[in-house]
Amino acid sequence: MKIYQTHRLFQKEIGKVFRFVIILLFAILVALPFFWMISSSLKKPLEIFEVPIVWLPAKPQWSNYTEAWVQAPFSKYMFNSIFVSTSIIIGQFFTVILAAYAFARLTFPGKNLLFLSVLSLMMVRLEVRIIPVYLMVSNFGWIDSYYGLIIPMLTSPFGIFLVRQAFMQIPQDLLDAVKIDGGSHLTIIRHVMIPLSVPTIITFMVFGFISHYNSYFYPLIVTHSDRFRTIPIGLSRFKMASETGGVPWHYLMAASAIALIPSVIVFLFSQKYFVRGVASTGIKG
Amino acid sequence: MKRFYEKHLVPYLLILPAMTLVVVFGLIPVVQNVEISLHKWNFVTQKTYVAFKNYKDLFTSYSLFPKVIKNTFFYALLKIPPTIILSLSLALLLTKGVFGQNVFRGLFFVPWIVPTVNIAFLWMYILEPEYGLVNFLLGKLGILGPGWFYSVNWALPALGLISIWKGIGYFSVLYIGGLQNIPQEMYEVAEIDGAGPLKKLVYITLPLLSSTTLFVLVILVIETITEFDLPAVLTDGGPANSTNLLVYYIYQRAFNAFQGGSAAAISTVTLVMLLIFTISQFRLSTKWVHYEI
Repeated sequence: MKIYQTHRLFQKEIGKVFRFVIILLFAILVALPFFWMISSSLKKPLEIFEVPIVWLPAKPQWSNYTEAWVQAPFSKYMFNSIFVSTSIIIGQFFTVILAAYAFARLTFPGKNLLFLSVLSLMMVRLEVRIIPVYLMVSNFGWIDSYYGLIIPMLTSPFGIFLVRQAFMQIPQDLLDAVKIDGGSHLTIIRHVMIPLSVPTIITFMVFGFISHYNSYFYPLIVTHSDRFRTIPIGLSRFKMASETGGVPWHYLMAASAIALIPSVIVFLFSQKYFVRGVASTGIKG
Repeated sequence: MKRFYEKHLVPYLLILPAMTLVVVFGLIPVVQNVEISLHKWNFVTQKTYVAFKNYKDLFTSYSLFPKVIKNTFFYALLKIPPTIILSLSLALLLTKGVFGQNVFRGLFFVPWIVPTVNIAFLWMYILEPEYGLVNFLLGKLGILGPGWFYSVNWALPALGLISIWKGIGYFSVLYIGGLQNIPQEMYEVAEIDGAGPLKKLVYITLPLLSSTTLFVLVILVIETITEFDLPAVLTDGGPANSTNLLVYYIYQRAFNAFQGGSAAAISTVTLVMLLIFTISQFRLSTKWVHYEI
Protein backbone atom coordinates (compact mmCIF):
# COMPACT_ATOMS: atom_id res chain seq x y z
CA MET A 1 0.00 0.00 0.00
CA LYS A 2 2.76 2.40 0.97
CA ILE A 3 4.73 1.65 -2.21
CA TYR A 4 1.60 2.23 -4.26
CA GLN A 5 1.05 5.62 -2.66
CA THR A 6 4.62 6.73 -3.25
CA HIS A 7 4.26 5.59 -6.83
CA ARG A 8 1.08 7.66 -7.27
CA LEU A 9 2.72 10.67 -5.71
CA PHE A 10 5.72 10.28 -7.98
CA GLN A 11 3.46 10.05 -11.03
CA LYS A 12 1.64 13.19 -9.94
CA GLU A 13 4.90 15.09 -9.58
CA ILE A 14 6.12 13.92 -12.99
CA GLY A 15 2.81 15.06 -14.50
CA LYS A 16 3.23 18.47 -12.91
CA VAL A 17 6.74 18.91 -14.28
CA PHE A 18 5.66 17.67 -17.70
CA ARG A 19 2.76 20.14 -17.85
CA PHE A 20 5.02 22.96 -16.72
CA VAL A 21 7.53 22.21 -19.47
CA ILE A 22 4.83 22.24 -22.18
CA ILE A 23 3.39 25.50 -20.91
CA LEU A 24 6.87 26.97 -20.81
CA LEU A 25 7.35 26.01 -24.47
CA PHE A 26 4.06 27.72 -25.35
CA ALA A 27 5.19 30.75 -23.37
CA ILE A 28 8.45 30.92 -25.31
CA LEU A 29 6.52 30.77 -28.59
CA VAL A 30 4.37 33.68 -27.45
CA ALA A 31 7.15 35.73 -25.90
CA LEU A 32 9.90 35.23 -28.48
CA PRO A 33 8.37 37.50 -31.17
CA PHE A 34 8.02 40.29 -28.59
CA PHE A 35 11.58 39.78 -27.43
CA TRP A 36 12.63 39.96 -31.07
CA MET A 37 10.69 43.19 -31.53
CA ILE A 38 12.44 44.88 -28.60
CA SER A 39 15.85 43.51 -29.49
CA SER A 40 15.53 44.62 -33.12
CA SER A 41 14.25 48.03 -32.16
CA LEU A 42 17.60 48.64 -30.49
CA LYS A 43 19.78 47.46 -33.37
CA LYS A 44 21.87 49.37 -35.84
CA PRO A 45 20.49 49.07 -39.40
CA LEU A 46 23.33 46.72 -40.38
CA GLU A 47 22.70 44.36 -37.48
CA ILE A 48 19.14 43.89 -38.77
CA PHE A 49 20.33 42.17 -41.93
CA GLU A 50 23.12 40.15 -40.42
CA VAL A 51 23.13 36.36 -40.90
CA PRO A 52 23.58 34.50 -38.59
CA ILE A 53 21.16 36.68 -36.72
CA VAL A 54 22.12 39.00 -33.90
CA TRP A 55 20.16 38.06 -30.78
CA LEU A 56 21.10 41.16 -28.86
CA PRO A 57 22.53 44.36 -30.33
CA ALA A 58 26.16 44.99 -29.46
CA LYS A 59 25.26 48.46 -28.26
CA PRO A 60 21.54 49.25 -27.72
CA GLN A 61 20.56 52.18 -29.93
CA TRP A 62 18.06 53.93 -27.69
CA SER A 63 18.03 56.84 -30.11
CA ASN A 64 16.07 54.61 -32.54
CA TYR A 65 13.00 55.30 -30.45
CA THR A 66 13.22 59.06 -30.61
CA GLU A 67 14.17 58.96 -34.29
CA ALA A 68 11.35 56.57 -35.21
CA TRP A 69 8.86 58.76 -33.43
CA VAL A 70 9.56 61.71 -35.70
CA GLN A 71 9.53 59.72 -38.96
CA ALA A 72 5.83 60.54 -39.04
CA PRO A 73 3.63 62.68 -36.75
CA PHE A 74 3.33 59.82 -34.24
CA SER A 75 2.54 62.03 -31.27
CA LYS A 76 -0.50 63.27 -33.16
CA TYR A 77 -1.50 59.71 -34.14
CA MET A 78 -1.13 58.57 -30.55
CA PHE A 79 -3.24 61.46 -29.29
CA ASN A 80 -5.91 60.68 -31.90
CA SER A 81 -5.97 56.99 -31.01
CA ILE A 82 -6.30 57.59 -27.29
CA PHE A 83 -8.76 60.46 -27.65
CA VAL A 84 -11.00 58.57 -30.08
CA SER A 85 -11.03 55.28 -28.14
CA THR A 86 -11.60 57.02 -24.82
CA SER A 87 -14.49 59.10 -26.19
CA ILE A 88 -16.02 55.98 -27.70
CA ILE A 89 -16.00 53.97 -24.48
CA ILE A 90 -17.31 56.86 -22.42
CA GLY A 91 -20.22 57.21 -24.86
CA GLN A 92 -20.76 53.46 -24.90
CA PHE A 93 -20.87 53.41 -21.11
CA PHE A 94 -24.10 55.44 -21.21
CA THR A 95 -25.83 53.98 -24.26
CA VAL A 96 -25.00 50.40 -23.29
CA ILE A 97 -26.01 50.62 -19.64
CA LEU A 98 -29.33 52.34 -20.35
CA ALA A 99 -30.26 49.88 -23.09
CA ALA A 100 -29.03 46.85 -21.14
CA TYR A 101 -31.18 47.88 -18.18
CA ALA A 102 -34.31 48.23 -20.32
CA PHE A 103 -33.70 44.92 -22.07
CA ALA A 104 -32.91 43.11 -18.83
CA ARG A 105 -35.49 44.52 -16.44
CA LEU A 106 -38.44 46.16 -18.21
CA THR A 107 -41.21 44.79 -20.38
CA PHE A 108 -42.43 46.69 -23.40
CA PRO A 109 -43.96 45.84 -26.77
CA GLY A 110 -41.38 44.91 -29.41
CA LYS A 111 -38.68 44.21 -26.84
CA ASN A 112 -37.61 40.86 -28.26
CA LEU A 113 -37.53 42.07 -31.83
CA LEU A 114 -35.51 45.15 -30.88
CA PHE A 115 -33.06 43.11 -28.83
CA LEU A 116 -32.67 40.65 -31.67
CA SER A 117 -31.88 43.47 -34.08
CA VAL A 118 -29.16 44.65 -31.70
CA LEU A 119 -27.72 41.15 -31.47
CA SER A 120 -27.84 40.68 -35.24
CA LEU A 121 -25.16 43.36 -35.58
CA MET A 122 -22.70 41.08 -33.81
CA MET A 123 -23.01 38.93 -36.92
CA VAL A 124 -23.62 41.56 -39.58
CA ARG A 125 -20.29 43.18 -38.92
CA LEU A 126 -19.22 46.64 -39.99
CA GLU A 127 -17.03 45.11 -42.69
CA VAL A 128 -20.07 44.07 -44.74
CA ARG A 129 -21.91 47.36 -44.19
CA ILE A 130 -18.93 49.54 -44.92
CA ILE A 131 -20.05 51.02 -48.25
CA PRO A 132 -23.35 52.52 -47.03
CA VAL A 133 -21.76 53.50 -43.70
CA TYR A 134 -18.98 55.27 -45.57
CA LEU A 135 -21.54 57.09 -47.75
CA MET A 136 -23.58 58.09 -44.72
CA VAL A 137 -20.56 59.41 -42.82
CA SER A 138 -19.60 61.23 -45.98
CA ASN A 139 -23.11 62.76 -46.35
CA PHE A 140 -22.93 64.02 -42.79
CA GLY A 141 -19.66 65.67 -43.75
CA TRP A 142 -17.77 63.60 -41.20
CA ILE A 143 -15.05 62.11 -43.38
CA ASP A 144 -11.67 63.01 -41.91
CA SER A 145 -13.04 64.25 -38.60
CA TYR A 146 -13.36 63.09 -35.01
CA TYR A 147 -17.15 62.94 -35.53
CA GLY A 148 -16.73 60.30 -38.21
CA LEU A 149 -14.35 58.26 -36.10
CA ILE A 150 -16.39 58.46 -32.91
CA ILE A 151 -20.15 58.86 -33.45
CA PRO A 152 -20.95 55.69 -35.45
CA MET A 153 -19.14 53.67 -32.73
CA LEU A 154 -21.01 55.06 -29.73
CA THR A 155 -22.88 51.90 -28.96
CA SER A 156 -21.82 48.27 -28.71
CA PRO A 157 -24.12 45.29 -29.34
CA PHE A 158 -21.61 43.04 -27.60
CA GLY A 159 -21.62 45.39 -24.61
CA ILE A 160 -25.42 45.47 -24.43
CA PHE A 161 -25.49 41.68 -24.56
CA LEU A 162 -22.85 41.31 -21.86
CA VAL A 163 -24.18 43.93 -19.44
CA ARG A 164 -27.76 42.72 -19.91
CA GLN A 165 -26.61 39.24 -18.79
CA ALA A 166 -25.12 40.77 -15.64
CA PHE A 167 -28.19 42.93 -14.93
CA MET A 168 -30.52 39.93 -15.25
CA GLN A 169 -28.75 38.18 -12.38
CA ILE A 170 -29.40 40.92 -9.84
CA PRO A 171 -32.18 39.91 -7.39
CA GLN A 172 -35.52 41.70 -7.89
CA ASP A 173 -35.78 42.43 -4.14
CA LEU A 174 -33.01 44.98 -4.39
CA LEU A 175 -34.84 46.81 -7.17
CA ASP A 176 -38.12 46.70 -5.27
CA ALA A 177 -36.46 48.19 -2.20
CA VAL A 178 -35.37 51.23 -4.18
CA LYS A 179 -38.79 51.53 -5.80
CA ILE A 180 -40.55 51.52 -2.42
CA ASP A 181 -38.32 54.41 -1.37
CA GLY A 182 -39.63 56.23 -4.44
CA GLY A 183 -36.47 55.78 -6.51
CA SER A 184 -36.62 56.15 -10.28
CA HIS A 185 -35.09 53.89 -12.89
CA LEU A 186 -32.01 56.06 -12.99
CA THR A 187 -31.61 55.70 -9.21
CA ILE A 188 -31.88 51.94 -9.58
CA ILE A 189 -29.27 51.97 -12.33
CA ARG A 190 -26.90 54.19 -10.37
CA HIS A 191 -27.21 52.64 -6.95
CA VAL A 192 -27.99 49.00 -7.65
CA MET A 193 -27.23 47.86 -11.18
CA ILE A 194 -23.87 49.53 -11.78
CA PRO A 195 -22.27 48.85 -8.38
CA LEU A 196 -23.24 45.18 -8.58
CA SER A 197 -21.94 44.69 -12.14
CA VAL A 198 -18.55 46.36 -11.93
CA PRO A 199 -16.47 43.44 -13.31
CA THR A 200 -18.73 43.06 -16.36
CA ILE A 201 -18.80 46.78 -17.05
CA ILE A 202 -15.02 46.99 -16.77
CA THR A 203 -14.68 43.99 -19.07
CA PHE A 204 -16.78 45.52 -21.79
CA MET A 205 -15.14 48.93 -21.50
CA VAL A 206 -11.63 47.52 -21.56
CA PHE A 207 -12.61 45.35 -24.49
CA GLY A 208 -14.03 48.41 -26.22
CA PHE A 209 -10.98 50.55 -25.57
CA ILE A 210 -8.59 47.90 -26.82
CA SER A 211 -10.59 47.03 -29.91
CA HIS A 212 -11.02 50.67 -30.94
CA TYR A 213 -7.42 51.54 -30.15
CA ASN A 214 -6.35 48.62 -32.32
CA SER A 215 -8.87 49.20 -35.08
CA TYR A 216 -7.42 49.52 -38.56
CA PHE A 217 -10.21 48.94 -41.09
CA TYR A 218 -12.63 51.71 -40.15
CA PRO A 219 -10.16 54.57 -39.45
CA LEU A 220 -8.34 53.66 -42.66
CA ILE A 221 -11.53 54.29 -44.61
CA VAL A 222 -12.82 57.45 -42.92
CA THR A 223 -9.56 59.38 -42.51
CA HIS A 224 -7.43 60.95 -45.20
CA SER A 225 -5.07 63.31 -43.41
CA ASP A 226 -2.51 63.16 -40.63
CA ARG A 227 -4.70 65.35 -38.47
CA PHE A 228 -7.08 62.46 -37.83
CA ARG A 229 -5.10 59.31 -38.54
CA THR A 230 -4.68 56.85 -35.70
CA ILE A 231 -1.64 54.85 -34.64
CA PRO A 232 -2.30 51.67 -36.70
CA ILE A 233 -2.68 53.72 -39.88
CA GLY A 234 0.46 55.66 -38.95
CA LEU A 235 2.44 52.46 -38.54
CA SER A 236 1.31 51.13 -41.89
CA ARG A 237 2.91 54.19 -43.50
CA PHE A 238 6.29 52.54 -42.94
CA LYS A 239 5.20 50.07 -45.57
CA MET A 240 4.94 52.85 -48.12
CA ALA A 241 8.48 53.80 -47.21
CA SER A 242 9.44 50.20 -47.91
CA GLU A 243 8.28 50.54 -51.50
CA THR A 244 10.85 53.23 -52.17
CA GLY A 245 13.69 51.60 -50.26
CA GLY A 246 14.21 48.86 -47.70
CA VAL A 247 11.83 48.69 -44.76
CA PRO A 248 13.43 50.62 -41.89
CA TRP A 249 12.86 47.68 -39.52
CA HIS A 250 14.66 49.20 -36.53
CA TYR A 251 12.35 52.23 -36.67
CA LEU A 252 9.27 50.17 -37.40
CA MET A 253 9.93 47.89 -34.42
CA ALA A 254 10.62 50.86 -32.15
CA ALA A 255 7.42 52.62 -33.19
CA SER A 256 5.44 49.37 -32.84
CA ALA A 257 6.81 48.87 -29.35
CA ILE A 258 5.62 52.33 -28.31
CA ALA A 259 2.26 51.83 -30.03
CA LEU A 260 1.40 48.77 -28.00
CA ILE A 261 2.10 50.41 -24.63
CA PRO A 262 -1.45 51.83 -24.10
CA SER A 263 -3.13 48.46 -24.80
CA VAL A 264 -0.75 46.67 -22.48
CA ILE A 265 -1.16 49.22 -19.68
CA VAL A 266 -4.95 49.08 -19.87
CA PHE A 267 -4.77 45.31 -19.89
CA LEU A 268 -2.39 45.08 -16.93
CA PHE A 269 -4.55 47.36 -14.79
CA SER A 270 -7.73 45.49 -15.58
CA GLN A 271 -6.36 41.97 -15.91
CA LYS A 272 -7.97 40.84 -12.69
CA TYR A 273 -11.45 41.68 -13.97
CA PHE A 274 -10.82 41.27 -17.64
CA VAL A 275 -9.55 37.69 -17.80
CA ARG A 276 -12.24 36.58 -15.39
CA GLY A 277 -14.85 38.57 -17.30
CA VAL A 278 -13.89 36.99 -20.61
CA ALA A 279 -13.87 33.55 -19.04
CA SER A 280 -17.49 34.01 -18.04
CA THR A 281 -18.75 35.78 -21.17
CA GLY A 282 -22.25 34.57 -20.52
CA ILE A 283 -21.53 31.09 -21.85
CA LYS A 284 -22.82 29.11 -18.94
CA GLY A 285 -24.99 26.28 -20.19
CA MET B 1 -50.24 60.51 -16.25
CA LYS B 2 -46.96 59.86 -14.48
CA ARG B 3 -47.74 56.15 -14.35
CA PHE B 4 -48.44 56.05 -18.05
CA TYR B 5 -45.17 57.80 -18.73
CA GLU B 6 -43.30 55.46 -16.39
CA LYS B 7 -44.73 52.33 -17.83
CA HIS B 8 -44.90 52.98 -21.53
CA LEU B 9 -42.45 55.68 -22.44
CA VAL B 10 -39.45 55.13 -20.19
CA PRO B 11 -38.28 51.82 -21.71
CA TYR B 12 -38.14 53.39 -25.16
CA LEU B 13 -36.34 56.46 -23.87
CA LEU B 14 -33.73 54.22 -22.25
CA ILE B 15 -33.00 52.30 -25.42
CA LEU B 16 -33.31 55.34 -27.69
CA PRO B 17 -29.62 56.35 -27.86
CA ALA B 18 -28.40 52.82 -28.52
CA MET B 19 -31.24 51.99 -30.90
CA THR B 20 -30.75 55.16 -32.95
CA LEU B 21 -27.14 54.20 -33.60
CA VAL B 22 -28.07 50.57 -34.28
CA VAL B 23 -30.68 51.63 -36.83
CA VAL B 24 -28.73 54.44 -38.51
CA PHE B 25 -25.34 52.75 -38.77
CA GLY B 26 -26.46 49.12 -38.63
CA LEU B 27 -29.85 48.28 -40.08
CA ILE B 28 -30.40 51.03 -42.66
CA PRO B 29 -26.98 50.32 -44.25
CA VAL B 30 -27.94 46.67 -44.73
CA VAL B 31 -30.92 47.71 -46.84
CA GLN B 32 -28.97 50.42 -48.65
CA ASN B 33 -26.24 47.93 -49.44
CA VAL B 34 -28.69 45.70 -51.28
CA GLU B 35 -30.02 48.71 -53.15
CA ILE B 36 -26.52 49.82 -54.21
CA SER B 37 -25.68 46.28 -55.31
CA LEU B 38 -28.38 46.47 -57.99
CA HIS B 39 -26.68 49.44 -59.65
CA LYS B 40 -23.56 50.22 -61.56
CA TRP B 41 -21.95 53.08 -59.69
CA ASN B 42 -18.53 54.68 -59.25
CA PHE B 43 -19.66 56.81 -56.24
CA VAL B 44 -19.53 59.97 -58.38
CA THR B 45 -21.74 59.88 -61.47
CA GLN B 46 -25.41 58.84 -61.58
CA LYS B 47 -26.24 55.27 -60.56
CA THR B 48 -27.50 53.03 -63.38
CA TYR B 49 -29.91 50.26 -62.50
CA VAL B 50 -28.55 46.91 -63.71
CA ALA B 51 -30.70 44.46 -61.71
CA PHE B 52 -28.66 41.38 -60.76
CA LYS B 53 -25.83 41.92 -63.20
CA ASN B 54 -23.28 42.63 -60.43
CA TYR B 55 -24.10 39.28 -58.83
CA LYS B 56 -23.91 37.37 -62.12
CA ASP B 57 -20.61 39.03 -62.95
CA LEU B 58 -19.10 37.65 -59.76
CA PHE B 59 -19.28 34.18 -61.21
CA THR B 60 -18.00 34.81 -64.72
CA SER B 61 -14.70 33.34 -65.83
CA TYR B 62 -12.67 36.54 -65.51
CA SER B 63 -13.96 37.29 -62.04
CA LEU B 64 -11.65 36.96 -59.06
CA PHE B 65 -14.55 36.22 -56.74
CA PRO B 66 -14.50 32.38 -56.87
CA LYS B 67 -10.80 32.47 -56.03
CA VAL B 68 -11.46 34.85 -53.14
CA ILE B 69 -14.14 32.53 -51.78
CA LYS B 70 -11.77 29.59 -52.11
CA ASN B 71 -9.00 31.52 -50.33
CA THR B 72 -11.32 32.46 -47.48
CA PHE B 73 -12.49 28.87 -47.11
CA PHE B 74 -8.92 27.58 -47.13
CA TYR B 75 -7.91 30.23 -44.61
CA ALA B 76 -10.73 29.05 -42.33
CA LEU B 77 -9.53 25.46 -42.58
CA LEU B 78 -5.95 26.46 -41.81
CA LYS B 79 -6.91 28.59 -38.86
CA ILE B 80 -9.99 27.28 -37.08
CA PRO B 81 -9.16 23.62 -36.20
CA PRO B 82 -5.62 24.35 -34.89
CA THR B 83 -6.90 27.32 -32.88
CA ILE B 84 -9.56 25.19 -31.20
CA ILE B 85 -7.23 22.26 -30.48
CA LEU B 86 -4.36 24.40 -29.20
CA SER B 87 -6.47 26.70 -27.07
CA LEU B 88 -8.34 23.77 -25.53
CA SER B 89 -5.06 21.97 -24.75
CA LEU B 90 -3.64 25.10 -23.23
CA ALA B 91 -6.76 25.60 -21.12
CA LEU B 92 -6.56 22.00 -19.85
CA LEU B 93 -2.92 22.54 -18.89
CA LEU B 94 -3.65 25.87 -17.23
CA THR B 95 -6.43 24.66 -14.95
CA LYS B 96 -4.56 21.79 -13.33
CA GLY B 97 -2.61 23.93 -10.90
CA VAL B 98 0.70 24.69 -12.56
CA PHE B 99 3.37 26.88 -11.02
CA GLY B 100 2.73 30.50 -12.07
CA GLN B 101 -0.44 29.75 -14.02
CA ASN B 102 -1.93 33.23 -13.61
CA VAL B 103 1.21 34.82 -15.02
CA PHE B 104 1.02 32.44 -17.98
CA ARG B 105 -2.66 33.20 -18.60
CA GLY B 106 -1.82 36.89 -18.72
CA LEU B 107 1.14 36.34 -21.04
CA PHE B 108 -0.83 34.22 -23.52
CA PHE B 109 -3.46 36.93 -23.66
CA VAL B 110 -1.05 39.64 -24.77
CA PRO B 111 -1.02 38.87 -28.53
CA TRP B 112 -4.80 39.27 -28.51
CA ILE B 113 -4.80 42.77 -27.01
CA VAL B 114 -2.11 44.46 -29.11
CA PRO B 115 -3.02 45.99 -32.49
CA THR B 116 -3.14 43.52 -35.37
CA VAL B 117 -1.11 45.99 -37.39
CA ASN B 118 1.74 45.69 -34.86
CA ILE B 119 1.48 41.92 -34.93
CA ALA B 120 1.46 41.94 -38.71
CA PHE B 121 4.62 44.05 -39.01
CA LEU B 122 6.36 42.04 -36.32
CA TRP B 123 5.70 38.81 -38.21
CA MET B 124 6.53 40.39 -41.53
CA TYR B 125 9.99 40.88 -40.10
CA ILE B 126 10.18 37.50 -38.38
CA LEU B 127 9.13 35.66 -41.55
CA GLU B 128 11.42 37.64 -43.85
CA PRO B 129 12.93 34.86 -46.02
CA GLU B 130 16.52 36.17 -46.15
CA TYR B 131 17.28 37.44 -42.66
CA GLY B 132 14.13 36.61 -40.67
CA LEU B 133 14.17 34.78 -37.37
CA VAL B 134 12.03 31.80 -38.41
CA ASN B 135 13.99 30.87 -41.50
CA PHE B 136 17.21 31.28 -39.53
CA LEU B 137 15.95 28.83 -36.88
CA LEU B 138 14.68 26.44 -39.57
CA GLY B 139 18.11 26.64 -41.19
CA LYS B 140 19.69 25.55 -37.91
CA LEU B 141 17.52 22.44 -38.11
CA GLY B 142 18.70 21.88 -41.66
CA ILE B 143 15.40 22.96 -43.23
CA LEU B 144 15.35 25.45 -46.08
CA GLY B 145 12.63 27.91 -45.04
CA PRO B 146 10.02 28.91 -47.63
CA GLY B 147 9.56 32.40 -49.07
CA TRP B 148 6.49 32.99 -46.83
CA PHE B 149 4.77 36.18 -48.02
CA TYR B 150 6.65 36.08 -51.31
CA SER B 151 5.43 32.58 -52.14
CA VAL B 152 2.05 31.81 -53.70
CA ASN B 153 1.83 28.59 -51.69
CA TRP B 154 3.06 29.87 -48.34
CA ALA B 155 1.54 33.34 -48.00
CA LEU B 156 -1.90 32.17 -46.90
CA PRO B 157 -0.55 29.57 -44.43
CA ALA B 158 1.65 32.34 -43.03
CA LEU B 159 -1.44 34.49 -42.40
CA GLY B 160 -3.10 31.48 -40.75
CA LEU B 161 -0.08 30.94 -38.54
CA ILE B 162 -0.08 34.55 -37.32
CA SER B 163 -3.78 34.45 -36.68
CA ILE B 164 -3.50 31.24 -34.64
CA TRP B 165 -0.62 32.70 -32.65
CA LYS B 166 -2.68 35.81 -31.94
CA GLY B 167 -5.84 33.97 -30.89
CA ILE B 168 -4.94 30.98 -28.73
CA GLY B 169 -4.51 32.96 -25.52
CA TYR B 170 -7.94 34.53 -25.82
CA PHE B 171 -9.73 31.34 -26.75
CA SER B 172 -7.98 29.36 -24.04
CA VAL B 173 -9.32 31.86 -21.51
CA LEU B 174 -12.82 31.18 -22.85
CA TYR B 175 -12.17 27.46 -22.39
CA ILE B 176 -10.82 28.03 -18.88
CA GLY B 177 -14.16 29.67 -18.10
CA GLY B 178 -15.96 26.60 -19.44
CA LEU B 179 -13.74 24.22 -17.50
CA GLN B 180 -14.36 26.06 -14.25
CA ASN B 181 -18.09 25.44 -14.67
CA ILE B 182 -17.65 21.67 -14.65
CA PRO B 183 -18.41 20.36 -11.15
CA GLN B 184 -15.41 18.59 -9.62
CA GLU B 185 -17.63 15.79 -8.28
CA MET B 186 -18.19 14.45 -11.78
CA TYR B 187 -14.52 13.60 -12.02
CA GLU B 188 -14.49 12.11 -8.54
CA VAL B 189 -17.42 9.84 -9.39
CA ALA B 190 -15.74 8.80 -12.64
CA GLU B 191 -12.53 8.02 -10.77
CA ILE B 192 -14.38 5.75 -8.39
CA ASP B 193 -15.73 3.96 -11.45
CA GLY B 194 -12.14 3.52 -12.58
CA ALA B 195 -12.05 6.00 -15.46
CA GLY B 196 -8.58 7.05 -16.60
CA PRO B 197 -7.55 10.54 -17.79
CA LEU B 198 -8.49 9.84 -21.42
CA LYS B 199 -11.96 8.55 -20.54
CA LYS B 200 -12.55 11.53 -18.29
CA LEU B 201 -11.59 13.85 -21.14
CA VAL B 202 -13.80 12.15 -23.73
CA TYR B 203 -16.86 11.43 -21.58
CA ILE B 204 -16.90 14.38 -19.20
CA THR B 205 -14.72 17.31 -20.22
CA LEU B 206 -15.40 17.52 -23.95
CA PRO B 207 -19.20 17.06 -23.79
CA LEU B 208 -19.52 19.58 -20.96
CA LEU B 209 -17.37 22.05 -22.85
CA SER B 210 -19.47 21.80 -25.98
CA SER B 211 -21.35 25.05 -25.38
CA THR B 212 -17.99 26.83 -25.05
CA THR B 213 -16.80 25.18 -28.25
CA LEU B 214 -19.93 26.39 -30.05
CA PHE B 215 -19.27 29.94 -28.86
CA VAL B 216 -15.59 29.75 -29.87
CA LEU B 217 -16.51 28.33 -33.26
CA VAL B 218 -19.06 31.06 -33.96
CA ILE B 219 -16.57 33.80 -33.07
CA LEU B 220 -13.84 32.16 -35.15
CA VAL B 221 -16.05 31.80 -38.23
CA ILE B 222 -17.20 35.43 -38.05
CA GLU B 223 -13.63 36.54 -37.51
CA THR B 224 -12.30 34.50 -40.42
CA ILE B 225 -14.93 35.67 -42.88
CA THR B 226 -14.33 39.31 -41.94
CA GLU B 227 -10.52 39.16 -41.86
CA PHE B 228 -9.01 42.35 -43.25
CA ASP B 229 -6.00 43.61 -41.29
CA LEU B 230 -3.56 40.81 -42.03
CA PRO B 231 -3.85 40.73 -45.85
CA ALA B 232 -4.10 44.53 -45.96
CA VAL B 233 -0.89 45.09 -44.03
CA LEU B 234 1.14 42.07 -45.06
CA THR B 235 0.38 41.12 -48.64
CA ASP B 236 -2.12 43.47 -50.30
CA GLY B 237 -3.89 40.25 -51.23
CA GLY B 238 -0.88 38.91 -53.14
CA PRO B 239 1.20 37.31 -54.42
CA ALA B 240 -1.04 36.57 -57.41
CA ASN B 241 -4.15 37.12 -55.25
CA SER B 242 -3.31 34.06 -53.15
CA THR B 243 -4.21 35.93 -49.94
CA ASN B 244 -7.09 37.98 -51.30
CA LEU B 245 -9.84 37.37 -48.73
CA LEU B 246 -13.49 38.45 -48.87
CA VAL B 247 -13.38 41.71 -46.93
CA TYR B 248 -10.07 42.73 -48.45
CA TYR B 249 -11.64 42.16 -51.87
CA ILE B 250 -14.64 44.33 -50.91
CA TYR B 251 -12.19 47.03 -49.89
CA GLN B 252 -10.27 46.74 -53.18
CA ARG B 253 -13.40 46.83 -55.31
CA ALA B 254 -14.92 49.77 -53.42
CA PHE B 255 -12.01 52.01 -52.47
CA ASN B 256 -9.38 51.22 -55.09
CA ALA B 257 -11.41 50.28 -58.19
CA PHE B 258 -14.45 52.43 -57.29
CA GLN B 259 -16.84 49.69 -58.38
CA GLY B 260 -19.50 50.57 -55.82
CA GLY B 261 -22.21 48.24 -57.12
CA SER B 262 -19.92 45.28 -57.47
CA ALA B 263 -18.39 45.83 -54.02
CA ALA B 264 -21.89 46.08 -52.53
CA ALA B 265 -22.84 42.81 -54.22
CA ILE B 266 -19.81 41.09 -52.65
CA SER B 267 -20.79 42.60 -49.29
CA THR B 268 -24.29 41.18 -49.63
CA VAL B 269 -22.95 37.72 -50.48
CA THR B 270 -20.56 37.92 -47.51
CA LEU B 271 -23.42 38.98 -45.25
CA VAL B 272 -25.53 36.06 -46.40
CA MET B 273 -22.60 33.72 -45.77
CA LEU B 274 -22.23 35.11 -42.24
CA LEU B 275 -25.92 34.55 -41.59
CA ILE B 276 -25.95 31.03 -43.03
CA PHE B 277 -22.84 29.90 -41.17
CA THR B 278 -23.79 31.41 -37.85
CA ILE B 279 -27.41 30.30 -37.86
CA SER B 280 -26.59 26.81 -39.12
CA GLN B 281 -24.03 26.43 -36.36
CA PHE B 282 -26.68 27.16 -33.77
CA ARG B 283 -29.11 24.81 -35.52
CA LEU B 284 -26.59 21.97 -35.82
CA SER B 285 -25.48 22.55 -32.28
CA THR B 286 -28.65 20.98 -30.92
CA LYS B 287 -27.15 17.68 -32.06
CA TRP B 288 -23.81 17.99 -30.28
CA VAL B 289 -24.06 20.65 -27.59
CA HIS B 290 -25.03 19.56 -24.08
CA TYR B 291 -26.44 22.48 -22.21
CA GLU B 292 -27.27 21.10 -18.81
CA ILE B 293 -24.72 19.93 -16.33
